[in-house]
Amino acid sequence: MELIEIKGVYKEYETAVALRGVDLVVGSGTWCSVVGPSGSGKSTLLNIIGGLDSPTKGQVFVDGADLGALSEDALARFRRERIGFVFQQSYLIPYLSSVDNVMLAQYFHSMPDRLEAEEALRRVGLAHRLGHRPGELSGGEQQRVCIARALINSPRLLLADEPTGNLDRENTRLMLELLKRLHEEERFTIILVTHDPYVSKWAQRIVTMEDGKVIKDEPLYY
Amino acid sequence: MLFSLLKESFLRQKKAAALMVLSVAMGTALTASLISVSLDIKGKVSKELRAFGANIAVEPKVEGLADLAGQKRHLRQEDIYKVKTVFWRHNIVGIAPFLDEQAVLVSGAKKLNVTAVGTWFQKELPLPGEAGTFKAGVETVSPWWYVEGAPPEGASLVIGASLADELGLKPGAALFLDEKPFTVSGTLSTGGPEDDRVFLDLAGLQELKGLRGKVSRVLVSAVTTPMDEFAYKDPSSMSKREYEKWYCTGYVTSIAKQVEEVFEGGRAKPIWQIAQTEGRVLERMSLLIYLLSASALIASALGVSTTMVASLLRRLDEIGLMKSIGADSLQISLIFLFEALIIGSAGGLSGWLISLGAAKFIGQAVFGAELTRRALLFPVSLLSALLIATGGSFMPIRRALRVKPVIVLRGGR
Amino acid sequence: MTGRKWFYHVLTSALRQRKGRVAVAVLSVGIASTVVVSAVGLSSGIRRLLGGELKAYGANMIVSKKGGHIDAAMLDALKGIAGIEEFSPQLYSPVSLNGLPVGPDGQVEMIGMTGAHSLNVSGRFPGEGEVLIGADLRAGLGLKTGDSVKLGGSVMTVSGFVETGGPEDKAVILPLPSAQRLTGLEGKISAVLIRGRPGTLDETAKVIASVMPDADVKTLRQVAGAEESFLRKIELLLALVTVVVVGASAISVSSTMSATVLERLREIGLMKALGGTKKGIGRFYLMEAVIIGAGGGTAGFLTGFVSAQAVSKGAFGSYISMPVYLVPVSIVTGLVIAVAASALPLRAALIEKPSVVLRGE
Repeated sequence: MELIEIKGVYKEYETAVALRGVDLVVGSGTWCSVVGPSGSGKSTLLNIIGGLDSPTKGQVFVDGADLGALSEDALARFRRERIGFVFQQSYLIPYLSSVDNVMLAQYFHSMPDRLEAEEALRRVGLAHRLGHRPGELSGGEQQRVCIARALINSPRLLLADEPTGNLDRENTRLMLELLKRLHEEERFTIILVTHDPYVSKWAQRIVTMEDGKVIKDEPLYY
Repeated sequence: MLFSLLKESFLRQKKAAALMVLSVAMGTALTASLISVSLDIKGKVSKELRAFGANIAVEPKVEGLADLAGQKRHLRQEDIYKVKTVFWRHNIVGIAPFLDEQAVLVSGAKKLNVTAVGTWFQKELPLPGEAGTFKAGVETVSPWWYVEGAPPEGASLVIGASLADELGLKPGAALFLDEKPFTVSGTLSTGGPEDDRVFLDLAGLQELKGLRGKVSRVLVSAVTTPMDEFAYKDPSSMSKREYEKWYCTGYVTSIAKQVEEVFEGGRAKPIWQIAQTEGRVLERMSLLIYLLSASALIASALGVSTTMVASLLRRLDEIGLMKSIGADSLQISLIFLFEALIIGSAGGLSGWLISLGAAKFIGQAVFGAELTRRALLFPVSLLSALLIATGGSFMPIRRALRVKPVIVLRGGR
Repeated sequence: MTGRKWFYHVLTSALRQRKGRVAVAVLSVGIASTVVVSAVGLSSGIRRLLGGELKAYGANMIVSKKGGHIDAAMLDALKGIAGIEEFSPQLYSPVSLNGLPVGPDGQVEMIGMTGAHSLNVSGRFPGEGEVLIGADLRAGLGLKTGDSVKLGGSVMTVSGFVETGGPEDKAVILPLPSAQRLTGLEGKISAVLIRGRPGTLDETAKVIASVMPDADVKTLRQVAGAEESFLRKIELLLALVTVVVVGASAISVSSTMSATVLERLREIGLMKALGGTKKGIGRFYLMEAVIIGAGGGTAGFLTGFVSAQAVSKGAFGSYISMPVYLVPVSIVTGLVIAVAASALPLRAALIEKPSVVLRGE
């Protein structure tokens, strides 16, 4: 079985239908971009893959686990052991320092380890910002903390939802370079949702969505 | 754009808005209930204190030695019916006449001189010039008199408990009073002088002693206004205006004066221990409830403010967002102001309704009667709720408006 | 760093960095505690406070001896009885006044008492060789302060007058020792008027009866009955007011605490995304609520105590003794309300799907 296998997933809300039958298979180690206009369902798909949301219909298998069969607590365990999230808004706890924010992910996983957390921040180039709180960091720096946090528990899958949405051109490039370096070093799978064509081209595969369905799925060759 | 923003922000915050309305409602309910109690406490407690007995005694005037000695003077029974015509008649809640005479009691082999008291145990007095009757009699001036058995009527009498013990008499027993036959209908025990006396229906004793239409004294129970410095002034030294003010205030002295005026040859005196203690207790109780209400009012105001502050502080991001899409300080302030007005009105109205229920319940449970409804309470409750709601949002709004949008969006404070 | 140490590190960071909001929450709990402590304190103390005022209604028990007198020496036995707040021995005897034909059998009632107590005296309570005259006698005989009157065989000076609206108006009043000497009844008294603590009269009566076996102990129903019933009504009133106060405060605090939790929905969503369990996440917020609740409850007790004393002094002119149990009650109440109020929105947020919570609803 591949790392991610999604079959016939539908997601319906009271007022709209976000996903209308999505099938997707992603192999381990791939960097996959999901693109499409707003409202196409890409963020919903990402949330469902990460167990942050559940489909109305269909099956989702991630790293061998059938997400539909897991209880809320089991899903929590699944997330902390195997997935890292980066969102467009850096959801950092405002009253904790960078190190503490990273340690938070460790805390829920196993045990907080200050040295490990500091090392993770150094790897993303924030050695000089360990004790700063999010309010004292720039947008790009905040996202880098998020990346460090997402990767601290060595997840097999990194899910990123418009991670560069709030960054300027320069910071976008810096962040993508960082991700590329880490991807090559750690060999985790990335699913990155974006509406920015520049960002999408950093991936090895582009999945295009429209109106809740996958309309195109093609590899990129460097 | 203002109204769509307002509607959107309000609808999104359903839970938070509900919390604020709840908080304002509770604060208003608490304050309004306490104010209801405060405003009515004097009246209710005054009525309760009548349980301690009559506070005015009417007796034949004593002007010279002759009044103290020899043949006892009496009051006219017919004057009693005029008591409910005085200026303060609505405050008079009890009247009872008493005729005190010595009599010879013979029971079996025993012969005693006893004091016989004639009074009304139950009487409905006609109200002059009005329909309906007024409940008078001993239970309205001495509510602690408890007759075991039946009250006296015609040829029956009630014996004081000590006397009954001494003579070994029980209800149903026969005896002679002034050589006329009577039966014991019941016993009376109060711990006071009544325990050694016998009691007859007023007409019965008047008949026995040939004193038709005459009574020795009349006790009156009235709801009074506590005495203050002004009330203690000698009425004969007052100016015309002062006298009118005194007469028209329900002091025990002015009510006594009015009662005195209907009794020919009578003198009405306040029973000072009752009247003065009552006044003091009333003052204390009022003060207690006023102070409690005041502190509850302050506490509710603060409590509501903290809720509003807490609710609004969490929406600083929203303010940053609104600013970034182009809303200016005035528009944002107006949005929050309108929200505060809506919350204040909803909370104030529901709070007032709750307070109605609470006040009614308290009134019934404690005093057996509803607290008087005050029409002003509604607008006052609503207004204070609005004031507190807007006042409570004032500080956080000011703070929020000073915040630069970019800082807020970055996640700082 | 161990898990537990780090937990407290995060907790203190949260409290320190969010001083404003924490202060608002503590203030809210504090205010609620204050009002509750005041209300409960006053409720529990009202019997004493009001009882003190009701004292002015006079005696609620009377000890007498039918057809005889009580030995004044027996009074010592009354001093130690707990339920007796005050007592006043009295001696009654008919006496002739200026040899005039006043009253039945040409004599007036003489009352010997130890002091004016609650009598309405104009002038002065009589000393040695002096007498107080009842208002009716004064009117009937045209007496003035300073006049001399002949009581029985002795001459006395009028020191003042008394008007009560009761039997005293037709009596003369002397200090007890003078009265005893005048009537040749030294060391004897007719009755003892007793002011017993309301609510305990029956037991007190039994104790008195046991130390004064040949006397009759009676409850004066006029005062005793009305007193008890009045006190109960006022206790009920304050209890109901307390209930209203407690209810309103609890809801008010709950609103504030809930608002504080709602503010942090996104944090909760984030922690869920990071894989936190309900218990793991809940611990942070509940612990914070515990600290806020305990802190507010403690501060609230202090201000509540002061507030209750202020109201008590303001209304009754004296302080009340607050029951000691109010300290833990206040703290625990603050705690319980803060935690319960946080727990509800917390639970709702923890149950929701993380994506929903992150969106901020």
